[in-house]
Amino acid sequence: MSLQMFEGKGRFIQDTISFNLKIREQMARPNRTKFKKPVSWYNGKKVDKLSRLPQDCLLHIFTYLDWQDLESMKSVSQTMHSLANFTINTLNASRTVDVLCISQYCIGWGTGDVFELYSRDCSQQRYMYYLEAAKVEREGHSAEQRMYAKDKKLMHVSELFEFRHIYKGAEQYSMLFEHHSLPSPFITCPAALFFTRLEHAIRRTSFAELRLVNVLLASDYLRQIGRALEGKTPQTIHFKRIKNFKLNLA
Amino acid sequence: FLFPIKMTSPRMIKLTSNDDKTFEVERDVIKQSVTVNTLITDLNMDDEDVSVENQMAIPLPNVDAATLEMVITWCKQHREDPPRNEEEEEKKEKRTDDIPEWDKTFLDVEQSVLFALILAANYMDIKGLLDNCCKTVANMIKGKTPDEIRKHFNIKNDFTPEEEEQIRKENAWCED
Repeated sequence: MSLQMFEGKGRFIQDTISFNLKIREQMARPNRTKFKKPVSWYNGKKVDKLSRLPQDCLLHIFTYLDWQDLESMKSVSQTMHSLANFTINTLNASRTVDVLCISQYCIGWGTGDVFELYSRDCSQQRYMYYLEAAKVEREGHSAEQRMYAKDKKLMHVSELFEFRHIYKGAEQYSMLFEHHSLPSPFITCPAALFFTRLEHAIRRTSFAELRLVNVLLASDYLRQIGRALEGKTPQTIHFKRIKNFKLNLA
Repeated sequence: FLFPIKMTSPRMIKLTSNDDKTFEVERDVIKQSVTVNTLITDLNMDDEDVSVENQMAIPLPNVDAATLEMVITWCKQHREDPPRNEEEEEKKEKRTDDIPEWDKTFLDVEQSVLFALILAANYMDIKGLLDNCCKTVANMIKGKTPDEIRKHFNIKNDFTPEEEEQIRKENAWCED
């Protein structure tokens, strides 16, 4: 072996030896500075410990979340998406809530044959849907619940009232909810999507009772609700203030 | 007619953490751990003739000393709790607002400690502790947006922009 191979490497070897000696000296000192772990080892906020939990632990945590929080978890990361999906599809399928109350209120109409529906999950006091649908009929609103408002301003009231006002030359109606102001921004969707969404909601949970309140939909649409409920018919279904409908539960 | 009264001290069990620290804990306290309880029964460690000194320590290779100490503290606090009926627990509504006050304070620790407790409770099969830890984490998640959850737990967003758009569309209908 040629000595040329080690040319220029003597300094490196010397440095390595002296470095090792320094470490030994350091280790031999009784009051040597302790090895400091990186901050991330201590501070949980610096490391994603949640995703590193075993799946059964994560699923256990997810069982305490309602579907809206699970929907949020789905958007967090790939891991959370698959586990939240799993929880929604399996665990929630066996979870029964006492009442799934989907109240749909007409928010406003007057623009052609389109009106907007808004609904909320009464059991959780959370808004669920906001959508628009074809205006078919406007019966079922009692006169004493009607109030007239001249401007478009929506008021926050403790009782449920309907407001009728003139907007762009057309008569419009608005509904306000008890202790709730209207959400902003509105999310609109085609009427047909309501049924997809209803199916979507039903896939997430089973329920003993379904209440559809103030629905202003044609019989055809209500038949679609029946089809959406196919195979998952609740024990009781309450329909309030809906006229001339024929629900065809398959 | 006087019989000598035998003073019985509580039966002690030795537990060893993964960093070789041994803890002595009362049998009645650690019975809440299904894993340890099963080991004690299987290894006939309930035999009263064996003194604590001669007793074999139960190794817990997945639990470090600091966490084990906390687990024992929790078990001591809950030693008088009535036995859990798993069937009834399953039927019960899944709530997160029913964590006892003592547990709330006990679990008010930094995330790394809380997650270590979850892992320990899961490994040692201590249902009550696992439930309360999971409820605490669930409470941290509740009501938060995906961004807030990521920030809180330092989770990396590993979705592609296309995937994110797809999820956003899926979720649009249920946003407030």
